Amino acid sequence: MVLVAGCTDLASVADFARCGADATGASDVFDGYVAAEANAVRLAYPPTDHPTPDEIRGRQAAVALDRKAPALAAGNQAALDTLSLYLTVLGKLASDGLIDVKDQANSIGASLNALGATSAASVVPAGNLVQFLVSAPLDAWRNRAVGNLIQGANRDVLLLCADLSTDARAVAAAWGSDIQAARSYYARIPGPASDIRGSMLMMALANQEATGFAANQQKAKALGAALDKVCSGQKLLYENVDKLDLAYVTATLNGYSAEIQNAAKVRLK
Amino acid sequence: MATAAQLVDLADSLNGYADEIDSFIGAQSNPFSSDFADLRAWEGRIAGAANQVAALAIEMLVDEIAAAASDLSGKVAIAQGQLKEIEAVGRNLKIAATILSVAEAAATGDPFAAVKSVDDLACQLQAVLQA
Repeated sequence: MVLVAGCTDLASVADFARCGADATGASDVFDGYVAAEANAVRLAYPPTDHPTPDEIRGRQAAVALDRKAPALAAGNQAALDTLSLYLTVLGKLASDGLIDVKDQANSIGASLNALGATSAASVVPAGNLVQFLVSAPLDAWRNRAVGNLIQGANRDVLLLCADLSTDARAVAAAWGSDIQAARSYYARIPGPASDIRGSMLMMALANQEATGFAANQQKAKALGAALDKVCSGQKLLYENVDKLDLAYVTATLNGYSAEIQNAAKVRLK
Repeated sequence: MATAAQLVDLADSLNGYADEIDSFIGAQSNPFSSDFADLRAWEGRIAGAANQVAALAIEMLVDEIAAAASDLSGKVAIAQGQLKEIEAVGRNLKIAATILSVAEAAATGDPFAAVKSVDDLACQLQAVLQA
């Protein structure tokens, strides 16, 4: 008879949490919002143009937003860091390595055998017995900690995922506005725009800026998409907190992990 | 009152209008003509309006996000404490295994094995003290 402690398989939970932590950690999307607002001021109208009162008011509004942007970005970044830490801790708790005591148990068993503490006729090898005695309660303890974290944090995690996803899309919209503002700005620069070569040059400058803005826009959209999947995964974990190793839960979580990884690839480009 | 998500949708729509103007001008025989100066100015103004609407959405969620993040932070701290306790079990088992290996080495009478086991034990204890 071989006693092997049957620990709960939370590998999919650990993998999902790790993917979520990677996608939300070290993101520069919200920090980038500050630059997006600075661009809105710079591109409100060309300095050599004669702005209308509406345009002057629009630029003043952009200046006010530019002043608020650092605080807004910092608040969102701090919240994203907290969400990432939640996923990191969940991933570590769900990791198989946390409760793997096989090596220690075997070592203890071998020493006990060598010291003659166990009889040669023992039905169960000492290492397996030690592993069984430790692993089962450790597994139960770990599962309770994972369940408590998922349940206790659920409301905040869902709210943060939804709100930060909305904000990431708002940042993407801000970059989208910068793209349009750049096109308008360079087309209105007097002088060079009055001849075809100058106009082509201005168009090239507008496109160059727009390309950079579009890359930031894509990153922000990707973060939003990753947060939506983290939200879906959290809902699934909460609804199945007592049966996290079910095949359906595992398969669905694996799907979310793959989608989060795809979104992270765009973000990291 | 509009939700933050609806405001973001509105910002996207406004950006879409500005993009339509850009596409319209780009499709003309001479897109650089001064005839389009007013339209270009409108493109910029619509983009500015879209930016302001997007900022409204972000501002709308500030308090809610701060409160949820603060609440979540406390719960994560508790889970981190539990994680450390569970990790400590593994470390304690390593120490127990090393203590037994010292006893085993001493029982064999091999001085080199005994010294190595004691050294391993000291390393384990040091690692625990530094953790």
